[in-house]
Amino acid sequence: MLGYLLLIALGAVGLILGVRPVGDQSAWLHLSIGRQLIEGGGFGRVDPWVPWAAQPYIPTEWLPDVAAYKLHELFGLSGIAWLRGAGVLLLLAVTIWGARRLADTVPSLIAAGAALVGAGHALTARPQLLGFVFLSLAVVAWWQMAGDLRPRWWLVPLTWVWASSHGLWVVGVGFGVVTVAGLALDRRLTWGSARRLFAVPALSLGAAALTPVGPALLLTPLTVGRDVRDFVGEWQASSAHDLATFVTLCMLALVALSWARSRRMPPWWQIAHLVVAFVATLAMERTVAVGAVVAAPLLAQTLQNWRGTPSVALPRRDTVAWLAMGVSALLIAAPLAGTLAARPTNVPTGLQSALSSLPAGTVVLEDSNMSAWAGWVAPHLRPVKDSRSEIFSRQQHLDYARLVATAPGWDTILGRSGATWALVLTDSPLAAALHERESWATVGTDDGYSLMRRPG
Amino acid sequence: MSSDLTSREGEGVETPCDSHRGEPISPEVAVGPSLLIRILPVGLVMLMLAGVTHQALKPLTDPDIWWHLRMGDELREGWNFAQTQGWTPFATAPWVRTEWFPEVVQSWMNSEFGLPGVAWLFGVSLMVIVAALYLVCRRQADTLVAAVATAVGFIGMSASLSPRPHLVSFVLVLVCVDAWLHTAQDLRPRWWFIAITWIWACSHGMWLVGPIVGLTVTIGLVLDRRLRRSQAVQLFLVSILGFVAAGLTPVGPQLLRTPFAVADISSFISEWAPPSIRDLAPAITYAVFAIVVLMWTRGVRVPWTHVGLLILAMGWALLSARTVTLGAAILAPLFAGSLQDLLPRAGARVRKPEVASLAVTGLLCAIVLALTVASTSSVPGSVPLRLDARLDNLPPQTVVLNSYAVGGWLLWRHPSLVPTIDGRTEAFPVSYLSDYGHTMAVANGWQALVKTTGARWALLQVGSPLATALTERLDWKSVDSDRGYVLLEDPSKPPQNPTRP
Repeated sequence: MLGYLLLIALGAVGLILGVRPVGDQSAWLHLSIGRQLIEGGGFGRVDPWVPWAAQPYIPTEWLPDVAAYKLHELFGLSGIAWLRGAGVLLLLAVTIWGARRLADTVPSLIAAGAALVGAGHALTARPQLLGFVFLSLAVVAWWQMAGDLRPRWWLVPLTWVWASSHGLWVVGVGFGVVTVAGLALDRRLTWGSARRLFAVPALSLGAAALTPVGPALLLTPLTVGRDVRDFVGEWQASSAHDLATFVTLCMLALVALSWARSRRMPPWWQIAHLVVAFVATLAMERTVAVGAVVAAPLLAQTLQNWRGTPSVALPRRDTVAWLAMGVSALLIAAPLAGTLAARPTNVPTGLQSALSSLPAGTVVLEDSNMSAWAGWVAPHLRPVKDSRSEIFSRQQHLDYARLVATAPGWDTILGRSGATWALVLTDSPLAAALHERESWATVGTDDGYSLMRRPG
Repeated sequence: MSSDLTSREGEGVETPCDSHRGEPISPEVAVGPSLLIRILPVGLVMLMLAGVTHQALKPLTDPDIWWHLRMGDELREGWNFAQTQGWTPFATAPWVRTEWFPEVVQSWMNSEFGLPGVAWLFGVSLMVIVAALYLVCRRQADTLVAAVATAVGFIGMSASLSPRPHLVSFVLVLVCVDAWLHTAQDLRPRWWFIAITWIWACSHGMWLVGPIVGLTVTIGLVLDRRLRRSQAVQLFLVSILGFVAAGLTPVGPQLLRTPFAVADISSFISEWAPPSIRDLAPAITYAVFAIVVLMWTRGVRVPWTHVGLLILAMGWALLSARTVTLGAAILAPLFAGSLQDLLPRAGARVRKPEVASLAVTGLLCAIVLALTVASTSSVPGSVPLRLDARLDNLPPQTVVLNSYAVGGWLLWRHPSLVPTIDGRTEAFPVSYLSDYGHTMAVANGWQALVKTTGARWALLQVGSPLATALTERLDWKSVDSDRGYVLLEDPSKPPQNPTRP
């Protein structure tokens, strides 16, 4: 009974987290990319949105971008909100599935719940949510392989879909290599079994090279944003003050200290998983969710060990009931999304008509948090810089930072940009400087943002 | 799927207090390391002592040193421990002298020997930290392991080692961990640690770490079921009386609430920001943590005392950039102990020649430092010295809109002036700090603070947004500049008492 109550509570939390109005800025960017791929002919050497970008854009997440755009055509923003809800529920379901194979219902749900909190940053309307669903599948698969040493070849085609969806596929490949190395340290592999298990990540790597993006995709984990990582917030080191990071670190600490106190030694491959999760959690805000997903089965196993009894497999009747609850949640999400998420949030919709009426090709200086939305509602405008950080050079990022901070020389950068309009935070230093120094006029304000026009 | 855990070797005879972790270290077994192996590690520590001596041979640059000196100067004049008033009308929050003891010592050194005396004190403090770190690790492991743990631990501690009273905390946390690790072995209460806590509470706001470490180890011993009721009471009393002692310093019981006073303003202090794994000190500390956990998972069962200390260390290491140093200090002996498990125990008893060689090296370094520091540290670094003459000639009580980094300098070198901010962040209300940040970024409404403070002079970093805005938008004039700072004057208001140099 407690298990069912916990499951319902987790499902409800998943729905609440997933079915919300679309407010994540990257959602607008990916919708725009989907539209560009379907209607605009893709991205060439010269960027169609920001012609002065230093690098061509590679649409590595083309599959979910196109799917999301098509869904938006059919159902509007409610469709996007439902998609996010479905992604969250799917992530939760796979995590529970993996944990339940190692532990009884209550410990596995506790571990999955903790992982959901730890993966909080990933629960957005972006392709990365799909990437984390695939990662949780890969984690489950590698636990199975570590158990029976039989390769799960289905990971290879899965990696093709994964590589067409998000850059996290490389973590899945690396995770496989780490697991095989750990099993080798545990001396559990024969030459033949080692070869077969190692073939899974090797062939997955090959599959990733066969997406429509081509073999160049293999290099993107090394090249994307290499010089501009300092300028992307979610690529900065994570902080233990953040709830998701804190919860994930607690999960890992429970596992590690339980091992230290245990009378039995954990195998090397599980220690390797713990180290991967620890490094991922501390490395950057974006990879905290990697730590949480990897930590979930470890925590489930630890909690089960505390119980002191072996786990009991889920009866068939309960499996059917759980699946029915999952499908019900997906169905409930549809009307909820229609009611709650038909309109966007955290964007200045009051300025949309003014932006749309500007002449095509107008250069607009946009706040970095608003450029994706502006690009979606007014694709005919040309932003000084948009949210695809990797296509801009380090110098372009530095110039933009100087401009936003109104540091010395900001007015020269402004003049060079050719911007005649600006969409900036009303209280920002840049808004004050444009008004006080350059006499720009405020045309309209909404939701904390001002649309400003250069005089003359 | 099976849990896949394998039994540890020797499980049948293992108890929580096996190995060095839980019981007195046994006399050396018959493993005789070569002379080279015994000398090399001590040589490494000697090199570290020389290295930190070199580190002190620089001008003083920490922006907080200056207001600590003024604190010490004022206290030595009247021994008034009441709150400081009157330095600046903008610091309206209550201020408690939590660091009076090292401030007085620094002030005395400055009055007797000038700034080189303060720099010498800094160098000697670093040497004490290195020596204490080595001895604490050495009491858990042999010379080679202790030297490695000292080097790694010192890198972990390095981010916060500046010439400020917090150095006392970093020495005493090592004393504290060493004392409690030995209590975990012999179960004897160290009553003298109450007196140490009193001194710690007179020296720095991190005194709370001492009783917390004590409570952690005591609770660990209770969980390990190694204490009789009377022993538990005695050990708890050491920590509880430490709290009481902290309430009995000349500052009074108000000291007890100061550790919690920074909660509201921590977002305004960069060193209280969360640490980044991309910085060397946290990265090394986290790596050490991972290695210790790895050793423990593959070794014998670990007692709760050590588990508790590890959790405490990692908590400090993750809390803020400043407390990484505490985490590294607590981790170092645990690291040494876990590394030692990989090696045959060659001798954890610290020998007299070893201590003597370190003491002689330290003494020599201190003498060399005393002889040379006057040539390197008599002039402050990172402050606009060339502007002193102009600032000296401003009328008393002139408000100066200043960069955060020079607030302490203005307080000490130009005590008649009124800076708008200084390093005593806790002394300023949160709303004021927020407005100050708003003004420094030149966000909308930035001119409000300029007006309300009544400042007509500003000492700001060259090229900062505010310096640019004041000159470009309010027509303030640059009077002079030095070492990256510019002195600006508002020409629109007539000077009250213009006395230009």
